[in-house]
Order: sequence, then C-alpha cells, then structure tokens
Amino acid sequence: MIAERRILLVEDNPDDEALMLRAFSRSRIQNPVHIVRDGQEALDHLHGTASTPPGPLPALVLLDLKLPRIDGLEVLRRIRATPRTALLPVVVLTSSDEEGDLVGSYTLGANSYVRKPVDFDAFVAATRQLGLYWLLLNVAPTAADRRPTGAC
Amino acid sequence: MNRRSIRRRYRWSALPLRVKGTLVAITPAVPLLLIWALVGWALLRGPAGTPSPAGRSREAELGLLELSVDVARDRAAVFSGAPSPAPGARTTGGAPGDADLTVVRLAFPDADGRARVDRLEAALQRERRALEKLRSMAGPRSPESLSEESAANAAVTAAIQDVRDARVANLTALTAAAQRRSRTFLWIFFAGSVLAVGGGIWAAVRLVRGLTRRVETAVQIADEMSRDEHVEVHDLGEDEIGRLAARLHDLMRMIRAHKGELGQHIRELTAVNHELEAFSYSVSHDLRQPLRAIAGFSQVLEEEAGTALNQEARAALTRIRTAAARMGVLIDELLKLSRVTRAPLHRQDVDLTRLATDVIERLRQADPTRNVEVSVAPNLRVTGDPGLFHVALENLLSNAWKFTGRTPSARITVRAVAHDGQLGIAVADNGAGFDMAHAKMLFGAFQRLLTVQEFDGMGLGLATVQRIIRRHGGHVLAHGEVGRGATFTLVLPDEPVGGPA
Repeated sequence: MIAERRILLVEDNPDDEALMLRAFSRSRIQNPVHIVRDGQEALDHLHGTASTPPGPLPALVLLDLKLPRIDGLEVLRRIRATPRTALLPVVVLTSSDEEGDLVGSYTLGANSYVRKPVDFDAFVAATRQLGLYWLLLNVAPTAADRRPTGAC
Repeated sequence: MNRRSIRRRYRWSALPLRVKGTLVAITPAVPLLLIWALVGWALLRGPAGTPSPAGRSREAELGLLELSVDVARDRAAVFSGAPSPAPGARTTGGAPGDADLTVVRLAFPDADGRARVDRLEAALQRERRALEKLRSMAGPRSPESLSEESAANAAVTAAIQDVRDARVANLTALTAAAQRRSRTFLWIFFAGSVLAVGGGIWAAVRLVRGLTRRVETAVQIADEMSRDEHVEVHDLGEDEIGRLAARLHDLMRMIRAHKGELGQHIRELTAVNHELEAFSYSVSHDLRQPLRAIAGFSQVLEEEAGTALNQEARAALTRIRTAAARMGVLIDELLKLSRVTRAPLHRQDVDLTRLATDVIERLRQADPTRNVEVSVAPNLRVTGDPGLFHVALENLLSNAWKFTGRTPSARITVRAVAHDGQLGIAVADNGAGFDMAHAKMLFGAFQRLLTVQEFDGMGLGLATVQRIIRRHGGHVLAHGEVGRGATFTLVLPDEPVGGPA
C-alpha cells in the first residue's frame, strides 16, 4: 500500500536529488519517486499540458523553493489556486531559513516547512521522519474527496 | 475673476501694507476737509467791512425814522413861528435828508424799491416847498397853502410807510433766502459727511477683506505644505503678504528638492539593502547546498567504500565531514548576524530578568547533568527590542554555560552595574576566561574566522551581541582572565541609572 503512494520531488540540483534518494533508501521508504527539475515541469506534471492530460496525483509533493523558470513559492501558489491540487500535501524542503520564505510558504498554504540539514545523518533523519509522517501517519483527502470541488 | 480685475488688484496689492493702511485712514478725512473748506468759504464770502443786506435794511429803517423826524421838526418850526434855521440848514450842502435818502436807497437794489424811494424823495421835496411857502408868508397863512402843506405832509407819511413796507418785505425775502442757503449748506455738510464716513468704512472693509483673503490663502499654502500636498502657485501681489507667500513657495521648492535628494539616498540605501538581502539569501541557499553535497557524499563514500579505505583515508573523510558541519554552523551564524543588523527595531519595555531566567531554564533542560549556580538580579528592565535582547542574552549565557563546563563549582550572575553614570547589565561567569590581549578580537565577526584557538566554539555570538547593543545606542565591555572567568557588560546610555535594580 505504501509502495503505491507516489512522491513528487521538485529538485533542480542533482547532488541534492542523489542525496535525497539515498536518504529515502536508507530510511526504507520504497514509494516511487517522480523527479521534476523545475517549477514549470512540476506544474505540467500536476496539471497537465495542452498535449498531455494530467496523470494521477502524487501522495506528497516535496518542493524546493529555489527553482529555475518558475520558483517554488509560485508553484505552491498555483497548486493551491487549482481546485484539483488545492488540498494536495506540499512540504517545502529547502536550504533557506529566511523569514520571507518561511512566512511566504505558510501564507500560500504549505503543509510543512523543513530546512535541509547540512549534516547527512541529520538529513537522513529528517527524511525518515518526513516519510513516516506524511506517507504513513498523515491522512490526506483522497482523490474521491477532492473531486466534488470540481476540476479545471 | 477676469484679467482686468487681477491687474487692478495686483496694482493695489503692490502697495506696502503701511501705505494701504494710511490711505484707508485718510479716506474719510479728505472729503470732510473739502466740505469744511467749501462751507467756510461760502460763509466768509464778500468784502470785509461792507454791511450785510440785513444791516443795510436796519440802517434804512433808521434813515426813514430820521427823515420823518426831520419833517416833523421842520413843520413844528414853521407852525410855532419860532425863528428856526432854514429847512435843511443842519446839513452841509445838498437837500436836507439827502444822506438818509442815500442810506435808504442802498437797501433797495431792485427797481421797484428805487421807484418807491424816488417817490418818497419827490414827496419830501413837495413838503419842503410847501413849508417854505408857509414860512415866507407874513401875516395870516392862506388856507390853500395850509391845505397844500397838509396834503404834502400826508404824502410824505404815506411814502415813508410805503418804503418801510417794501423794506420789511425785502427783509423777509432776504431772511428766507438766508435760511434756504444755510439749509443747503447743512445738507451738503451732512451728505458729504455721510459720504466721507461711508467711503472710509467701504475702503476699510475692502482693505480688510482683501487682506483677510490673501492671508487666508497664505495660511492655506502653509497648510498644504504641512500636509505635503501639491501647492499651487498663487499670485498674492508684491506687498508683505505676497512676499510671504512667495517665500513659502521658495521654502516648499527647497523642501521638495531636499526630499528629492533624501529620496534618492533612501532609494540607494534600499537598493544596497536589497542587495544585502539577496546576498544573504544566496548565502543561505547557494553556500549550504554544496556543503550538504560535500558532507553527504563524503559520508556516502565512507559507507560504500569504508572497508576498502585505510585508517588515514577514513580520518580524512571524517575531517572533511567535520569541517563541512562547522562551516554550516558558521554560515548559520553569519546569517543570524546579518539578520540582527537588518531587522527593524521594535522598542518596548523588556524584562531582562525574565528573559535571562528563561534562557537559563532552557540551558538546564538541554544539559540536565550540569550543576551551575545561577543568580539573576530581580527587576532588570530596559527599553529595547525584546527579540534582539533575547538573542543577546542567549548568546552571552550560552557562552557562560559552555565555558564553565570544566569549572568545579560553576557560577553565572546577571546583575545591573553602573558604568560611568550609565546603566550596565553585567553577565559574569567563573569559567575558562580569556586573555585580555585578545579582547578586541572577541567582537570581530571576521577576525573570528581566523580561528584563534582560545575562542574556539564561541562562534559569532559576541559579534551578534555587539551589533544588538550598538543598535540600541550602547556598547559591550569584555573583561576576562584566563582560568578565572569572563564578564561581559552591556552598557546602555539611554537607560536611567540606579532604577529598580
């Protein structure tokens, strides 16, 4: 059941991506991880494009803030502005501890804000806790719950 | 308001207020003086010494009286038979009563009056002749002559009465004319005075209204200036008020110019501040990321190939990871320091006693095995930013806590002290202390990066404390002795000394 719940990782840096995947595996999180490398790609994946219809929604979005093309806060704003994805759990995972980013993320409706620790052990620990909490413990609205609000 | 009236007002406005006031003050005086002069001239008109018409009339009456007296005396002399001087003998030359007749004639400038006087003269001559005839008669007087004289005398009496009536009528007419004239003068005087006073009031009202309006406009300009609104250019003339308004405009322009300059400076500073923020943002993001990669991948390397590496290689990997972790801490502290510098100051009452107690409580919870004797003085109150003072105390007390780690009976005190008449908050410990030779380097953010072994582990905390206290207008004093402890005093000149502490 856990394995079916997909994670969307929005991360432009390959180093962070590799470390993140390693942390997932070290934490025994075996959920499929879909990786997109910028904000536009993330929105295309969630909302679809003119040529491709949107696929099934992920169980969790891990969102970096500093992204090429469309930055993380804007991605978050558009996720929340779209009825289909308005209730999707989004965890901001970033290097920044600037107050502007923190307040901005919560204002736009982030479910959580986690700073990536420099130390790898701490990073793995944080990833494990994130996975445990958001993929096992937390109950999110299902696709069926979401649908009545209308798709766009 | 049309152009002509603007021009007219402009001319009037160009006069100084002093001149305007004087003009308004003399406005009623000028016509009044004119009227007085006119009336005076009318009253005093005519050559000096000449009797007035009324005087002539009075003299004519006397003349008439004398004429009748003369006639009566002449008759009496003739009828009593007394030797009397010839009729008219009392006068020198000319017919008797000629002088009186002249006087009487003077009272009658009109033809009708003169005709009456001529008839009187004729009657007088006739009477005189009749009397002469009677006198020249010796013996009994003829009844014809007597009746002739009697008729002549009656004619004289009638003629005198006639002239007298005419004189009275003349006098009445003269008096009426004089009355009319004086009424006219009175009217002129009255109307002129009313006009003069009215004109004065009108001029005064006009001046006051004009002044009030222009002063109000000047006040309005000042109001607009004080509210920093757009101020239109008002032409208020060239007098004092106009000059005042013009100066206000100049002032406004100056203020605008200065504001423009200030705005430019503020924009520049804002730009610099934004750059600083962008800098710290990129430090926050871009410097941490590679560090995380260094730390992460060196650990990956150790995990994946640890058994294949020799002791020395593994130690090197550990050093890399340790250094990366330390750099991570340094970056965090640099960011904290820059935030302390940039954050706006929210001044309010700060209870330092409570803040310090909270910080100590948290330190105890984080390290329950430590037994540190802590004494915080009661009622330590200052005015400042509570958040920043919290950061300052946290840094000082954490340092004190850390550097008393090897002291057998650790002691930390927080209390108020007086420093050169200023309030000082002293945080003292009996821990490792420091060499006073290095005291200056304690607070330098970048000296600290040179890693003086002695301060290792102190972080940028003291530099942060220094920035915080400087932003509150104070400074930090450090006193230490190796092995005996350190005291950091926050000197706050804005605070009252010897207060509740």
